[in-house]
Amino acid sequence: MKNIKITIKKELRAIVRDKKSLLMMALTPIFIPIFIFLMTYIYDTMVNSEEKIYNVGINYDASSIEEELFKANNLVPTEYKTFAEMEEAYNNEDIVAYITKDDNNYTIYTNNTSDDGSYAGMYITNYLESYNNYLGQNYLTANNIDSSYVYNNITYDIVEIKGNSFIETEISNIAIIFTIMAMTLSAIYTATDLTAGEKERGTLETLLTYPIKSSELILGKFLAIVISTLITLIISLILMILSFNIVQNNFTVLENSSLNLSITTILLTVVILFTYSFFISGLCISIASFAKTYKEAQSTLTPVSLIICIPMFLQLLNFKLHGYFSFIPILNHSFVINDIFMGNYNSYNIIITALSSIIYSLIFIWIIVKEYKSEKILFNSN
Amino acid sequence: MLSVNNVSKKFVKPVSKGQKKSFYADKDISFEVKDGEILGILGPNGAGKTTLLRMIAGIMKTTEGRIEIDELNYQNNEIEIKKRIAFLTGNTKLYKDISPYELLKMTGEYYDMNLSTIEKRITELTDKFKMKSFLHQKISSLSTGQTQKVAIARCIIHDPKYYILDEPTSGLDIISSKTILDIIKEEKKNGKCILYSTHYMEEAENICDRVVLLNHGKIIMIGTPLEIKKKTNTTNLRDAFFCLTEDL
Repeated sequence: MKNIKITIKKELRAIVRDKKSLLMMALTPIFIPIFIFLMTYIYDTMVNSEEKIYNVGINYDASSIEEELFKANNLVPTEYKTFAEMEEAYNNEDIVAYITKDDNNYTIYTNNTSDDGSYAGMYITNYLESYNNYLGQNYLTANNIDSSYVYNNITYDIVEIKGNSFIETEISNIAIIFTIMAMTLSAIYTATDLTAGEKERGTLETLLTYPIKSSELILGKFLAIVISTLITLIISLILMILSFNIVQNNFTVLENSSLNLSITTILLTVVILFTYSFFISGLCISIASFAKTYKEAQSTLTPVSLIICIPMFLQLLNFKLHGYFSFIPILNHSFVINDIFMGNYNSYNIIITALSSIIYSLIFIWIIVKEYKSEKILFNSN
Repeated sequence: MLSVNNVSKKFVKPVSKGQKKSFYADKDISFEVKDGEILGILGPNGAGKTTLLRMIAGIMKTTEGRIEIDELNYQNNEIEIKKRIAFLTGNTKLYKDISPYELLKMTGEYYDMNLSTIEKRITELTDKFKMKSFLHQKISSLSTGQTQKVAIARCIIHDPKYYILDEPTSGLDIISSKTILDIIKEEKKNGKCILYSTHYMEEAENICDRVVLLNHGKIIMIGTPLEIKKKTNTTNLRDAFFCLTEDL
């Protein structure tokens, strides 16, 4: 145990004194507030931007009520004498859609595959439906019939149910993915440096002459990597909580959101990410130990940093964690934390995620302790 | 006493795609080193010296045979043996980002020494190797000679009984080499048991009580420099080595 402690101390000193390791461990979490601010700003701008006005062409004299309906539907009509003129205006992008009128028959010309065309088409339809209703009501009134019997048979109200908005979900997703990514990068870099790096620098041979078992040596290295990922986790969580507080108080889009993390949320998140740090440290050290050189270890570990993006894509596809998927590491960590953040977590998933991570970590520890006795691993010899 | 009994080390190397060939780096090596004795392991590059010393230092396992130090063997007493030995090679690499003081302290801790003993020993070694001026500097900023002094101090901080030295003067200037050779002579006087590998035959002739001549992983002769020269009818170990290998 004493030798493990000495090794942890030795490795942590090496990590802290190596600028690159320190950068990976402490600076990667800085991307978390950057992305939280950036995403909140983009959503806030989208939600609070003034509604867009659409220029449309018409070939008829609009009545005063039609003028009002155009205005109410964000449409600015321009009158053209001929159909060809409207077509030309459309091709010149002066208008995004145009309407022709033949007696009481209106035709809408619009390109629904473009954003502007689709929105303009929707607003034109609204304007025509409203105008049709107006004409119907006028006809009924002129014939002494109460129009409310025809047009107001039912009434309805909308009550807002409190829940997580799409924006909240997206922002917390990004924060979680980046925390996992920061921890993963910290584990990859540190594991590479402490195993393949030490082998390449030639200091491993010296270390092996000390009265220390290879199992104590590799366990010390493993725990030093765990500690470095936990430091990254703490920095990430602090930055995440601070960023959530700042964006909630400064962007109207997140007013009344539930991004203020409760103690329970933070504790459950720490538990899950604590088990993740053991999992990822075990995975990285067991891969890096087999590498002959620093470069080889980095190349082998690069796919790990890419795998962590998979949960992000699955979340975009509305994937839900269930069944055997709860046993898939990284995927389960990401989804479980997201559920915790959103306040609708499943205790079964939390237990499965934590337990499976511990089991995977124990398997990795067993592998590295077993393999680190091998001369093939230690000296790259056969 | 250190004894090496019929020790062999087999490696497997790839020769072509999918094909491997096994070979012995050391084959059936046996000798003993008594307390207060310097035993030289001599031979050209590739003779099997480094592999043999790595096995004696316990960082490689023997394929066959047995190594005993104070009647203890690595199978049952690895940690106890390692506490009694010092292993130094010509290309020993040290941690660059720490100071000699931190390295010596860490090494002392690994050897289970208490803090006051470590401090006392660091003071002794600092005076002995004149390291005071650079004791707290980063090792990366030290000269080759200063680094070698630190490497030796690291090696002997726990006052070992057995020294396993693998070409410790390789690539060093005469001043740095002399520092190492002086330490070896001093430790011999203190009754320490020293295994000294080199390919500098003259150096070995000057300091070794007995030498083992190795070639292609096998012992070709063992004895005092005088005995070997007499048997081969030569005037120095270099000629003796050539005399012994020309028939092989």
